[in-house]
Amino acid sequence: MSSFDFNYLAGLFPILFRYLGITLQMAAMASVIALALALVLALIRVFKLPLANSFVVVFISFFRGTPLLVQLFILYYGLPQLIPALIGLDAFSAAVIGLSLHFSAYMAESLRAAIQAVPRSQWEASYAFGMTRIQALRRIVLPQAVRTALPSLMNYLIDLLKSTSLAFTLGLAEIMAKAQMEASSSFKFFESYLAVALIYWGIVLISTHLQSKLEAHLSKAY
Amino acid sequence: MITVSNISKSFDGQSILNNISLQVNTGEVVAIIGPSGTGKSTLLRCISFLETPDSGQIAINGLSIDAKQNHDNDVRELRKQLPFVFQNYALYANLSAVQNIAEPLKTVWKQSREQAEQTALQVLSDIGLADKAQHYPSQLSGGQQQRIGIGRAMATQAQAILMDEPTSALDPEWVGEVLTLIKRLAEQKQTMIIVTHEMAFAREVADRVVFMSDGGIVEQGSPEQVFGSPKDPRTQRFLARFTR
Repeated sequence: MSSFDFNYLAGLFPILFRYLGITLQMAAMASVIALALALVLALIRVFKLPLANSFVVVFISFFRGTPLLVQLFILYYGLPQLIPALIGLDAFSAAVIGLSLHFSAYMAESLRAAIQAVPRSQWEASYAFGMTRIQALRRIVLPQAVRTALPSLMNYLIDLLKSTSLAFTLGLAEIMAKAQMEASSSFKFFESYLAVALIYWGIVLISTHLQSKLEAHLSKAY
Repeated sequence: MITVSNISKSFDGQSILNNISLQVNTGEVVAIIGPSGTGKSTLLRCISFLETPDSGQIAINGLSIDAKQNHDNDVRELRKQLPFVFQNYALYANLSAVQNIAEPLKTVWKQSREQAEQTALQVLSDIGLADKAQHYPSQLSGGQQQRIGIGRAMATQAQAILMDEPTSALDPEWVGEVLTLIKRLAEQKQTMIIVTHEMAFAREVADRVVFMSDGGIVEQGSPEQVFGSPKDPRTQRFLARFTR
């Protein structure tokens, strides 16, 4: 039994930090796509667009009802067998697409709930002055809904960031994959995985701090 | 001039408005009174198509809209010309007082931001709330919110203002300031249709009083006629409750 090797742990950080970029890039791209897609899905649900609505219901049910890991495997290893055009899909893109689809399903539901929680009178007060549905949504309803949905959206974004670690199963060299490589050559599993854990924790702490600042800023308004 | 022709509306098979016609001239203040549940608010909401009537037409200055074949563009143009004052104020909760008034000017009337905000500030000082410009609705009293609700309608300088029981949701202490503001608008010959339960106010401010009961207009005339010598027994019975 070996004892805890602090120097090894400290030495790991510079190595892992070199791979942090890919993790953050993956998280940032998936966050933006997931949020945009979630808004579209939520609006289809709110306005009950015929046909599209049923599709969205199934979409959300599937991506919330199956594990992210399984979704990533289907997307990266499974679908290219069926659709040859996807053979060229690299692990990074597959991870970004998988994370986006998965988290858009969750975020769509919080956005939908938040939009529907805005009192009917806010829509009416917009229509009564001649606004279109899009204007009412953009100027009056959505700003109120986003404020309500913000805490849960931020939680999903933090979850998304941590879930990027699953991309190592697609063979993507991000920090989790690098830590695993280091661990299997040095046999210092605890130090290696602790280092990854500390890095994720650090990023999440920073994100949480930004979140509370953003929430404070928005709640100051009204 | 607003011409309401043969408006009918029913909810779940129950008739609420039964073939109502009404004409409101420019500069005229029309008060609609009557027992609760007789369709006064529904009529007002049908006039601005917040409820789509089952049948009938609304016409205002060359724009005529039929209940059965209305286009979104026409409905919006109608609403633009008939801003609405809500019983529960319905100010935009995410916008400050000045932005509440400026918002329709910017979004609907396509005024520049500067112009809209300048107009909004002017209106705020006009209604005595210049110092509340940056306050949000949640930070204002009911009376202040409703004055801003009226200011939001005034600022558009549209053809006429529709008011749906503008003082009914207010604590008694705030009713006076709102009625005073509406009186001032009446003196300035602002065309208005006001659904109200304030009989003394209707008598004092309205050019014409319309008494509604059971989904129809029972009688209408000058305040002196309707309040002084009501002809229909239903009007007499209704008014008797207020004069004792």
